[in-house]
Order: sequence, then C-alpha cells, then structure tokens
Amino acid sequence: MAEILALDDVQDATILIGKILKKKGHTVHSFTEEDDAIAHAKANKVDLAILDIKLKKMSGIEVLSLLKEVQPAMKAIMLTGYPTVETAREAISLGADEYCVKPIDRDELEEKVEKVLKSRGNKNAMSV
Amino acid sequence: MDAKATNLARAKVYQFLSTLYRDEIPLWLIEKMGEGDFLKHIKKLQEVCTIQDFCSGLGRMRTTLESGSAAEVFNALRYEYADLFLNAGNNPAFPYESCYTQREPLVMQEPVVAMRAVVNKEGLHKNPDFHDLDDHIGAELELMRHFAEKAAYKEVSQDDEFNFLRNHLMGWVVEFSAVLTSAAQTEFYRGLAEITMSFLFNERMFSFASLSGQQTDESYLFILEQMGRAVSVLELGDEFATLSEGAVAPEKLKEVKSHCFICLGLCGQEIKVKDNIITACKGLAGDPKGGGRLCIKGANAHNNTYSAYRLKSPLIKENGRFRKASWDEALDLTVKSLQKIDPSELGFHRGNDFNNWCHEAVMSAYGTPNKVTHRQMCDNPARMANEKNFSEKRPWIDYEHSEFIMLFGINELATSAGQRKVSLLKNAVKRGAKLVVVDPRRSETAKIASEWIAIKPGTDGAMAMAMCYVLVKEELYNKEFVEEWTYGFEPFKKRLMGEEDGITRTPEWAAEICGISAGTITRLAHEFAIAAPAVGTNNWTGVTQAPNTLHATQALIAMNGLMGTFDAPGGPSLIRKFKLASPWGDDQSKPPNNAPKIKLDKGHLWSGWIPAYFEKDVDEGKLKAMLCYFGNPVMSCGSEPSIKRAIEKLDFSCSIDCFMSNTTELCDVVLPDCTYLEQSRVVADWMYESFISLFQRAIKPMYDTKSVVSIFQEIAKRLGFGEYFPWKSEDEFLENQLRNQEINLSELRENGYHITDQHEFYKYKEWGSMNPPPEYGSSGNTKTGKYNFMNPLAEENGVDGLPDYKDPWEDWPDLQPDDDHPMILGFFRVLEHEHTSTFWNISLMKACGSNPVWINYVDAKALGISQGDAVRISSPWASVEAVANVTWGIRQGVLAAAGGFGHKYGLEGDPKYPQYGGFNTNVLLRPNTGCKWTATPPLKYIKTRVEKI
Ligand code: SF4
Repeated sequence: MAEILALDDVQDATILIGKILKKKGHTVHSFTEEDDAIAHAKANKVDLAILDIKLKKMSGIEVLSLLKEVQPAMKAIMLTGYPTVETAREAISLGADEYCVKPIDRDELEEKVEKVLKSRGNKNAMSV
Repeated sequence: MDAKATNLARAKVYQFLSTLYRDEIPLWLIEKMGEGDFLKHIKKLQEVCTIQDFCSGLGRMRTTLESGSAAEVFNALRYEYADLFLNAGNNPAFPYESCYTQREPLVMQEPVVAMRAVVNKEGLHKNPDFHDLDDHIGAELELMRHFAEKAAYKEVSQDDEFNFLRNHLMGWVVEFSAVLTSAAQTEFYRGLAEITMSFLFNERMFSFASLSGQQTDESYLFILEQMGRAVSVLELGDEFATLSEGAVAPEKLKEVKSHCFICLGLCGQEIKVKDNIITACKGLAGDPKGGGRLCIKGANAHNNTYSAYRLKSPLIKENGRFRKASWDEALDLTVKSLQKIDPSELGFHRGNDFNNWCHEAVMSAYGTPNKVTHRQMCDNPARMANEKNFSEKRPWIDYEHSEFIMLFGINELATSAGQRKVSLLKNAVKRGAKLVVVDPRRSETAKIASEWIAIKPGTDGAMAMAMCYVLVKEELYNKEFVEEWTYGFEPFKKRLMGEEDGITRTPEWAAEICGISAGTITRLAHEFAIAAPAVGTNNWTGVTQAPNTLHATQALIAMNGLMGTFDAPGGPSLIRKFKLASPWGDDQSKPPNNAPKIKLDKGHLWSGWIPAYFEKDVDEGKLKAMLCYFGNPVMSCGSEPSIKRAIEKLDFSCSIDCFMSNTTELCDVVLPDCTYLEQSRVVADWMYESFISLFQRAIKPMYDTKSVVSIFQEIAKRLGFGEYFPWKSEDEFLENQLRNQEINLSELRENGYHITDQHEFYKYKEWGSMNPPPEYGSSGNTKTGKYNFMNPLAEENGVDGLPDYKDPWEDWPDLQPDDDHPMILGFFRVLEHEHTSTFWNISLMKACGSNPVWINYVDAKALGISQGDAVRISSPWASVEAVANVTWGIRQGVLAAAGGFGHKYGLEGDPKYPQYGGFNTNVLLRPNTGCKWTATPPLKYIKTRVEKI
C-alpha cells in the first residue's frame, strides 16, 4: 500500500481525501501548510502527492517542483477547483501524472490514485 | 430551459466544437461565423458571461474572425491546422486521447479500444469516411453530441454519457488544451482550446448536478442557451461525420506473418493484430533471415506506424507554409509540374525499397535518366569493388563454420542485430573462433572481438594490401584456386611486389599509413592463412564512407580470393536468390522506357546523378525538379546546408514520405505514404538458404495515406501511362510475381516465407562459374565467371582496376587534415536507429535520444574537455555544437557520433520533448564533394577541430 501525501489549504478537503484513500489501505499524511508537507517529504518516502493547485503561500505547482527535487520518482495528482490552461501547462511541464477537478468525486479519486500507483514509470513531462 | 432544450443546446455546442477540430475549417463555415448573426450572439454572450476562460476563448476567436476577410481567415487557419494537426509543423497538438495516457506521441493505444467499446454499445461505429482515428478529439466530442441528443429525445439515463465524459474527455482534454494553447500561433485555436476546456469543466459540474438531481448552475444554462442559438445560425446539419449507425463487433486477434522493413534486413515478423490495431511485433519462428529474432527496431516497428507524427494527408506549400490538399489536387499539381520540365531535368531520389519495379518503371516511362537510391552514400565502393569481381556485392561470411573472421568497418551487432547471422557470429566467438574487428571506434562488435584494431580512418586499403603482400610473398595463398578460379592475379602480384610503381606494399609501408604495427599486420596475415579456408574477411560502410575506398575494398576481399575461401564452410558465401516472376502478367503490357541514356554527372568510374553534387547540378541548370520517395537526401547524401540550398533553388519538388523530414519540409508537395505494415510486397531473399519473403499488410492504410504502388499508379495515369500499371489490388501483382514459384500467395501467407534452396557450399564448382544459374538472381556478375583481382569495369574504362590503397584526399586535396583541423570526424550507426528514418518512434528515442560525440581520453585531456561538456566541432565548411563523450573506445585523432540525428521535426524538433535531440555530422561536410571513383560523399572523413564551449 502506498505512502500518500495530501496537501490542501482547506482542511476538510484533506480529511475527505484521507477518508477515501485510507479505506483503500493507503497511509495518508495530510497537510494544510506547504512547509510541513515539504518537511515531511524530505524525511519520509512519498509514493504519491495529491496537491491542490491553489494554496496559501505557494502554488501547488511550486510545491510540486520542490517535492520532485527531493523525491524524483514520486507520482503526483493535482487538485484544482477550476483548471486553467496556464496551471495545466505548468503541471504538465513538471510531470504531474493526473488532475482531479474539485469537488472531489470519490470514484474518480479512487480510480485515478489506483491508475497512477499502478503505472510503472512516471508519466512523461512535456514542455508546453 | 427545460431538460430537453438544455440537452439539445449541449449537443449543439459539442457539434460546434467537433466540427472545428475534426478537419480544417471550411470557408463556408468561416463565412458564416464571420457574419452578423453568429457574432451578435457571441458578443451578447461575452457581455454577460461569467465563466472566465469561456469568455476569453470567445474573445480570441472573434479577434481572428474579425481580423480580415473570410478568405484571409480561412487561409491563415488552414496553414495553422496543417501545422497543429497534420504534422506540417514541428510543434503539433496531437488530437488523440492515446497521446495523453503517457504523454507520448503514440496513437492507437488503449483509449481506442475503450472508445470502440463505448461506440459499439451505443449501436454505432466509426464512419468509414472519417479517415482519422477513433479517439480523435472531434470523434469524442461528436459522441458526446450523440449522447446529449439521445438524452433530449429519448430521456434515457445519462450514466453512460457522464461516465464517458469524466473517464475519457475530462481525462485528457485539460492537457490537450494546454498543449494546443502553447502550440497555436493564432488566437482562434488558442481560444478554441480555452472554450473546450472551460466547456468540458462545466459539463462535468453539470453531470454531477444531473446525477444528484440538483439544479444546474444558472450561468451555465445561460451560456448553453446563447451558444446553442449561436451555433444554430451556422446550420451545421443533422448528419454525423465521425459516427455511423450500427454496432460493429471487434475483430478477433490474428497473427500476420510478415518481414521487417525497418533496416531492410527483412527479419521474419509475426504481427499481432486485434481489431485492426497492431498490439505487438514478434520474431517469426523458423524464418531463415531472423531465425525468430528481432532487434529493438523490429520489435517496435508498429510504433513507427503509430507515431503521432505521421503525415496524414497530402500537403501543398503556399507562401512558404503547408496546407491540406486532396489527393487529386496534389497529384495533379505534381504531374503538371513534371510535365513543365524536360524529364532529364528531374532527379528521382528513392530510398531502399522492393517495389522499385513499379516506381522506377513509372519514372522511366516519364523519361528521366536520373534515378538514384541511397547506394552512393552507403556502400557504393564495396558494391563497385565486388559486383563485377564476382557475383555478390557483400558476401556474408558463414559464421557458423568460421575459424577466423576479419571485419573491416562492419558493426554487425548494431546494424544487423535482429538477423540470424548475428547470433551465429556470437556463437562462433563463444566456441572460440577468432574475430578481428578493424575500426577506429570500439564498436559493439569490436567489444566481443578477440582483437580490436583501431586503424586510422580511410587507410584500410593499406593494411589489406600489406596482408595480401604477406600471403603472396610467403606463398601462403591457395595456388590451385588462384589458377583455376581467378582473373588478374599476375598484375595484382606485380603491384604488391612494387614492380609496377616501385612501392612494395609491405607491412612496414602500411604501418606508416594506417597506424597499425607491421608485426600485427604480418601476424594477422599468417593467422588468416593458417585458418583458411574456414576464414573470411568483409567490409562495409566503416570503410566505404571514406573517399577512395573502392580499391581498398578490392584489397581486403582479395584476401578471400587469395585463400580460395568463397563458399567454403566458414568463408564468404555466394548468393543465389530464386528470382520472382514479373509483376506484369503475361497479358499485361510493360511500360516503355523513355529515358535517354545520358549521365548527369561523371567520375573516374561511376556516372549518373550524384546527389553529393546536387547544388552544383542545380546551379549549372542540369536539375530543375526532384521527386523523392522514402529518402532524406538533405540529411544523408552530402553537405546538409548545400543540399538544402539545392532543393530550395529547384522549380519544383515533391516528397512521398510517412513523416515530415528535413527534406520533406522543403518540398512543394508532400504525398503521405503508408508504412510497410500497411502495404504488401514480396521479395526473393537469401541468408545462406534462398527463400521468398512475404511482406504482408497487417492493417489498412491509416488516415488518408496510400501505398507506394498506388501512388505511382496515380502518377502514371496522369502522365498518360496508366494502362501499363493496371493492377486493381496488391494481390494481383503479388500473384503475378509468384507465378513461377512452387507455392501460391495464400500458401505463402500461411508461413510468411518459403525456402527454395538449402544452404550449400562451393556452389560455384557445380555451377562451373562464380555466377549463379540464370533462374537465380544475385547482386553481381563476373563476366569472366571467375573471381577478378582486376576489376573488369575499370579495365574497360582504362582506369586503375587493381586492389590498392589510395590517399583519401588524392582527388580533393582540401580534405586532408591539417593543423587547423587535425581530427577526422565520422558517424556510426546505433542499434536503436535506422539512418534518419526512426526518429519519430518514441520507443527508440527513449532508448537512444541524443548523439554525444566520442572523443579519445588523451585528446580530451589535451583540450581540457571532460565527460558531458558542451563542445563545438568545426570543419572548414561549418560548425555544430555537441556534448562530449570522453572514452578510450576511439582512436586518438578521431571523433565520432551516432548518425541520423539532427531532425527539425519529430521528437528531436518538438519543443514539447526537449530531452531529445542531436546533430547531423553531415552538416560539416565539404559541399559538392563525392569520391571521384564511386560518388560516395566523405561521410566518415571530415576534417575537424573540437573545442570546449
Ligand atoms: S535487423 Fe532489426 S530492423 Fe533490421 S530487419 Fe531485422 S529486426 Fe528489422
């Protein structure tokens, strides 16, 4: 089962992600603060990060690039309330594996987490 | 709006988006979009729209629509469409779901299967008139239109609809829209991307609301209403363009027996096909060529076919940009352009191909004498050295029984990796046979060899002459064979002994030239003689792509002649291929040959069109047009900048290709060929045994592509020779070709190959000649019936026909290295690529995606260059940048890099994949330069200097 890091500035969202994925047997470490999440990733193995694009201090994209520095093999799913072309471009260039659009749909999240964890390599990055 | 009206409005928007994506946008639609009513609705919508990207997208679209007349907008958008969606540009926005599952440029992946299942469940199938793929954005959007209309009229559950929306479209359209926005040059397509993404996002919210019985967001309903009205004005019609009525059950898995065409090694292939989708390429068990093996290129051949960079439709260049064209328009323009010039002013350049009986016949009927293949830039010195001296251009050694194998400039393990002979070579080494590899670079084959002889480039002839000298001087040669089966021994002996010019070709003489000690040369000659006749020596492009190597090849093959090893167990085998019958049936007339017997260029021995002189020939007014099939002369036939200039100066050029290459991009017309897996051929082949190989079409031609035979049939028809190219199907000419064989086409389809003659030794003794009997073909012919030390063609022409070493710069003094440019640069082939033709294949690019330049450790130290440093390589004619690979595996003073790199399109040129890319060593070549004997450009003899940047 996977070590999952969830970061969203709205605590309810991280609780919901935790609930959905713990039922599937994963260990979920939830954060609302960017620094805490980054510190966790520096000290612990993370198989998958689920990051909201809109955070308090940084953007989820910035956090993704910092996390990728310490855990290059880590997979990532970006959460977004509203996907814009710009955030999508950045996330693709950094090699985010998937998107989930909020509100979080249980089936969709389960399916995407499953799919991303099962895939052998990370999805390729594309510079767009 | 009630539910029905809402769903109908949704359907309209889906129809609108699908229409804008699935083809270039027709003029009538642009006219309608630019008219008052549509724009009035759009403006009204923009004034009140609260959905940011949607409004912004509409604004961008309007900007383009209002930027000029409908015709101007139409033209701007069709160029953009060709760049974005037809791979005319180097930064395409792949419109297929398959390309986003791994963000790789590969089509026909799992989403196609899933899409077919959904379409099938809906009682539909892909419209056969829609030439694009099942998971095209236009097709998926149109399926949503179908769902929405169904919901409106039949009030059915929308579960399947919303599942499709969320699991398919929403899974990739965000990324597709991001790619499209970044790649598009016009506001229109950027706006379309924004509208698409925003609309689908709102559709997703709509699906949640619908499924949970909640109210749909009012602002979204307003948008739907207004957009529905706006789209109604466009009168897009009721018909579906990508879908047809009626479910079609998926076809079962089948195995198609065929042969690999990637390097034309023709290894047997078994292609797994399910529902017209190739799922794997495997080796064909028992096949005489591959023996059930495939190299990485053959195993990934379908990823060439499924590369998202394929050319899909004919293209015509206007104002320096490509646009889509119909086949009729493109072919008419091509033929009219050919008819405007004298046929002798056309150059027909083709790649290696086995349907040359068709396209060459069309070109001969048209009347051009200037037909060339890759031959000159490849191994012409070897062919010319061998094809008149005995019956084979390149005699493969019978590795299985060999005791001593000497390979000059052949890297079998990379270039022929899939072929059975390579496993035989490896086994021979394992059982203790001696393998000596003569190559300035420690190639893969050199790595398994007993000895790697790191010779100076271009000097193999000196080493071989000295070995021959030892064999003759010490009377180690096979006197009986030389007496009975050779011609020209005495003059050859005189040359070796220095009786002709006072230069005795001793090992000491050779050592000075080639940088290999006299002791080593003498020892190797002794070992060769002792192990004879189970010995063989052979060469390939490592030798032949340096200038003046015709006589060098003669020298090293002469060792086989001296020891009488031809067709001996363990020696170089003589070929016999059981000839195929004519593709023309007994009742079908053959076309006339209207080509005059004139030669465009002349050298000491080779004459004809010499593509290395392309620019010179154009400048002198000798060439005015080019037709290029399955070739890339810009990157491969000489100085890249010079050949590029030549094509740009032509009145007309047309390329028939599967991909946009550095050559294709320069042409006025592009005709999309299909890959070998989409068309059929039959070939008489040989690998110790003689056999017939079938290339069986595995899938139907994709997109709007055509097979080469059908393209040339169309050209012939327009030229007025259609009656001579009458076949109605591939089967017709294949059956004709097989009518002299023991088996027919359906029997051959079962097996994929048919062995006509088993492996035999010393066949020439039975034949009474080194030439095979008339019913067999071979790649050479000796008019004496013997092995010729003296090349009869040279003798006839009154030029030097004996083996020898000649300085590479003898005819081109400025090729000689000097203080400014002391190093010799060349390219080498890698296992993962076939010349310039595989750089659109993601699997191969992942395995080998760049070409660092090899530099010897000592040279690098002296120049302050470390591993991975950026370096500049300069010749007197150009310079390039590269990355250094510092290694002991190359001779001092020599630089080398993998060939085939340097594309402006495909994975190397696409800014989305910056990790791939390299340089073409041919950029550094001297323009308009070819070996005077063989016309081969000095691809592996470029004087250079290298410096750290
Ligand atoms: S060697 Fe490789 S590329 Fe060449 S024919 Fe065989 S499998 Fe194909």
